[in-house]
Amino acid sequence: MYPKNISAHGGEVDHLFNLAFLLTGITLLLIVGIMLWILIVYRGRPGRRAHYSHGTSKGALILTAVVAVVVFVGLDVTLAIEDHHAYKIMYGTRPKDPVVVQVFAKQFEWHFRYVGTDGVFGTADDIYSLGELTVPLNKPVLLRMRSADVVHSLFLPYMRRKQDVLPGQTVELRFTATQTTEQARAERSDPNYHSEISTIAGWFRFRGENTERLDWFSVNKPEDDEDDHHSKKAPVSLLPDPKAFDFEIACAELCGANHARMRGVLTVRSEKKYEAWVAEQSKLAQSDEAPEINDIWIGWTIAPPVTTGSNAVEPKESS
Amino acid sequence: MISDATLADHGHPKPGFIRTYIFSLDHKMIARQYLILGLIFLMVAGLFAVLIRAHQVNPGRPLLVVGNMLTKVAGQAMTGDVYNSLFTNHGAMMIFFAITPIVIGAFGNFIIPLQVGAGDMAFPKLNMMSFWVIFLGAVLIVASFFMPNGSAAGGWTAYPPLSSGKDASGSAYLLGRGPLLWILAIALAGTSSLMGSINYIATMLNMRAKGMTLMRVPLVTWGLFYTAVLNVLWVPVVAVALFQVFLDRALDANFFVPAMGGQPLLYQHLFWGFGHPEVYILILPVWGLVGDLLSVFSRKPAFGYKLTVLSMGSIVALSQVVWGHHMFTSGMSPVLGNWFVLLTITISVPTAVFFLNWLATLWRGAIRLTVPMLFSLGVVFVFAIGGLTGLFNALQTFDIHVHDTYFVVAHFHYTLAASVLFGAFAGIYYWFPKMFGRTMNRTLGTLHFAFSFIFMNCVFMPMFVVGIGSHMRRIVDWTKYEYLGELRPLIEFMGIAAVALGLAQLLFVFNFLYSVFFGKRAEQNPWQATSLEWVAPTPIPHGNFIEPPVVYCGPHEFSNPGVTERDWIMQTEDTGVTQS
Amino acid sequence: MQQPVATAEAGPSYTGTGVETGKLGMWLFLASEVMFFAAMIGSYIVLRLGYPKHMGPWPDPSTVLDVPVLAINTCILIASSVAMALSLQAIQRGDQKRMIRFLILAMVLGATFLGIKIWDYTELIHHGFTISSSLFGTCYYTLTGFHGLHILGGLVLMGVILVQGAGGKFTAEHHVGIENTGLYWHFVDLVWSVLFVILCLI
Repeated sequence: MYPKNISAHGGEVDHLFNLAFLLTGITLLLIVGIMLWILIVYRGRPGRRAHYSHGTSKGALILTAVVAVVVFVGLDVTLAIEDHHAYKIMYGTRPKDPVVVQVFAKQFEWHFRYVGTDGVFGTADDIYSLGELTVPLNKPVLLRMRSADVVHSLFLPYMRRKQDVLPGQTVELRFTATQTTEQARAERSDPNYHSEISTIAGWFRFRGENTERLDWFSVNKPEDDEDDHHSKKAPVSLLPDPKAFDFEIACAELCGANHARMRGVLTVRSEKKYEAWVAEQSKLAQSDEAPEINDIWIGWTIAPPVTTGSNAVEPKESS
Repeated sequence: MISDATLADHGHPKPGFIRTYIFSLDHKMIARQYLILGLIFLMVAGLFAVLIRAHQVNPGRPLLVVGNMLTKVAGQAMTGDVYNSLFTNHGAMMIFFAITPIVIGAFGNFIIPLQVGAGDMAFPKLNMMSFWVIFLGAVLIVASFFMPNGSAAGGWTAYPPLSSGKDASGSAYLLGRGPLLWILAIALAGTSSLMGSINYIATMLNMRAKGMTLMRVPLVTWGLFYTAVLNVLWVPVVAVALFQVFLDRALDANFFVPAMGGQPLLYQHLFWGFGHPEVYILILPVWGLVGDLLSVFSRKPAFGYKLTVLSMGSIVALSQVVWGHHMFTSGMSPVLGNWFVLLTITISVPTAVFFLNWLATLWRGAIRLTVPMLFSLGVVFVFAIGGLTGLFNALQTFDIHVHDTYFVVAHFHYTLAASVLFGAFAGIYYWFPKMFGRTMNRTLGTLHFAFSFIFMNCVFMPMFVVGIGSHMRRIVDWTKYEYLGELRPLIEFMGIAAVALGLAQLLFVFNFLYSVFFGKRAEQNPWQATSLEWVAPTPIPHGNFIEPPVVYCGPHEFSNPGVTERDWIMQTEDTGVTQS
Repeated sequence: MQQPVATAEAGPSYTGTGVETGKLGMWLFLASEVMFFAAMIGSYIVLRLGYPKHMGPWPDPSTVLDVPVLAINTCILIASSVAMALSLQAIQRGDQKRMIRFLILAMVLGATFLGIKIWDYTELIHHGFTISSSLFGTCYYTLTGFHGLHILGGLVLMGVILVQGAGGKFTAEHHVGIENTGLYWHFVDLVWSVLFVILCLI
């Protein structure tokens, strides 16, 4: 599975996928194999007559029942049990003391707010961030999310997690990160590193070098041409620099014209560095250089009471 | 008026041009009108699809030839608004104005009265109106593009508040009035389906010829019947959801305005309450058709006919209680989610029965690889992939990862685009001789199948990989995300394959147009099939049958050992050797 | 000239449900209408039960709506329904004049209902209760509005039946048109009763 998982629960999802891929793959091969075999063996030839049967014999009924039971138990029940197992890990017990971050989705930006050093929302030392979510390593994180306008969906590809953010509701999303951004950068700088997708995509790499964009269907912009002809720059790799690698956050629910630009960055820091970051940002927030606070936060002030129960929580705080 | 008299009572013996070709009450002419409307929209929406994939190859640059038509500023790449409008209308047109008119409108109208042995539909005037209602819808959806600020751009699902235009981002889509026309167009298409469905059910239940018991009706008509049942029940529900969006947008109502207590989630429940039955609405006729065609072209009775009818029925029932699997990420209660998982994957049991019956029908047959047969076999293959990947989507935790990614897009294109479209082609090639009195060219048809099959898989197979690679759907420019960079070879490959798939359809367009005018004259029963439409003479006269047919056996009497000089027994033949 | 095998009105259907085809069509149409209003009323219930607490309680209908007038209006519609039933009874006995008289009465009562509805709308809008003023307004106008459109459709249908009836189309044996119109009209009446209870009383 791609991109590489960096969450505590993501492994379960990957495992579920592998199992489902194996089971359905076998089923598909069976169907296609039997079909091709029949097509070859029983192709129509002059003088050959088909076998006359309506499939209503006892044997046929038993065969149908067997197939139904095998599919139900072998595919459905097996996968449902595995899914329920993953589901319990994803949603199950609520962590005692999570790092709470408030998220406000707005066309086409992700806004984040942290309690700061005092542990309470709605005070002067709150940290506000636009587009960058910073979380500590190996600690449960609880996002409490609202939308200011339309339906958005916070998508953490590296976490196998996604949660729609509907206006008028406060929804939650929980995860625990298992790799820091720094570790990921180091890992990707290794020349031997390659993700699974590169391997699969590699099969489709039907035209040599990976540095040029295919432009069969598009017009070359005039300024591009000038660049190419006059400055003769060396072709630059289209793959990003691993040293500047970041985990990305996306919006997965169509939210308007600039939906594709609703990108965010997830920065995972080790616990120590995270605490240092909170202290530094908190201080900055109280200084004169503090950035202006976006209007959307007005009215969402009270610290969220952490309740047990379902995934979606009705807005209990003021709104 | 519901209780129409029929053409036989009031029609003229030789109606004029307008009565024959435009406001015709004859189900066969209405079927041809539906077919042409559907094919035109299939081309338009198909072109949209090609544009979408070609654009994705290099999203930062304008497209060749059409690039300047799609932007306001010359030389600029496609903007989000235009792109959103393209895929929104690709989806809406394909579902409501291409697939529905072809598979349900054309096949349903043409086939149901013929296969049950009726002279016409139960309500011919209602039937005529149903076509003109969808035609009006088609005019409106085209007109919506010419409104200031363009047509709808909120996805075919049209989730509010985005679709109801209640926010202040100033996007062209939110300001426009075109989306109102778009909603009306969809509502009219739905009304048309509803009228058609009432006709189909009444015809199927009340107009059968003597001896045509329910268990002797061909499978495709059973599929269309089930489809009609789902349409009657669920089209009104989506109409309600769309009207609510309409009122929010046009009259400032508050259904989906959270500040006034409105609930956007309500729309999703209503929409998917219809939306999930809708996928079965589209595919049930194709399942039936494949069941029939596999039997005809392997010269063998359909295996487990009754069980197939029963399985279709159980899917109809199940399809109405599984809508929640579209909403695993919506913040719906997770406890409900578990039930939806279980109910959804249970659908795989009747589906498995289909595959067993299909393969068992082929087994020990004498298989003829005609063009309709090739497309039917194609359906078996692509539907196997579509169905099996549906299992992945039914699993809550995995679905959360791939929801709103290309994995889902690939899945429903395998079921809807590939399966239903191949089924539609199979039906067109199969009934063309009866519909137009001429035959389509077999070589061109075989080539059309081969290219369609190859390129269809080339477009949508990599799309699964891209989706698992977390590529969100509906984004105009994937290069904004760095992690998607690795998917580039796959995206380029899909782009090329999509253009090739589009070009391959020209074979069909040429074959169709050429054959309508210059094709070889067709015999009465070119496929040596047994159902009642092949009893009627070609071309079929008003009233369909020379004399009222009397039915003596089921629709799949092939290779009966009791008859030796040929390997089929028409349903109207009283041979005394049949079992069904 | 070939004759059709079986049609809606002429011709026997050899195997069927036993229900006249025209009536079967009307029942199917009503099934879809039931789903339509079920979705409408369901939406209203969901919106009302899920009304956010911080926005205060759901308004008491009697403070917003003119309930006595609507109650009278309900009686008028029920009376119209009764007239329709009497009209059908008359044609079943073959009494065409009586049928037309009651049909006209049913139409007049239906039109009165619609007239009072329009007057009620103008009054409410005058008092600031509009489709956009509150969620209750949205639900009220949408539900009663779509119901009003059904009343209008019913009046048109009855008009057609009236013209056909005056032309002597219906007999004691053959009157599926009136039966269908009656079915539809009773259904619309029933929907109004439900709407009146859930919108104006509870």
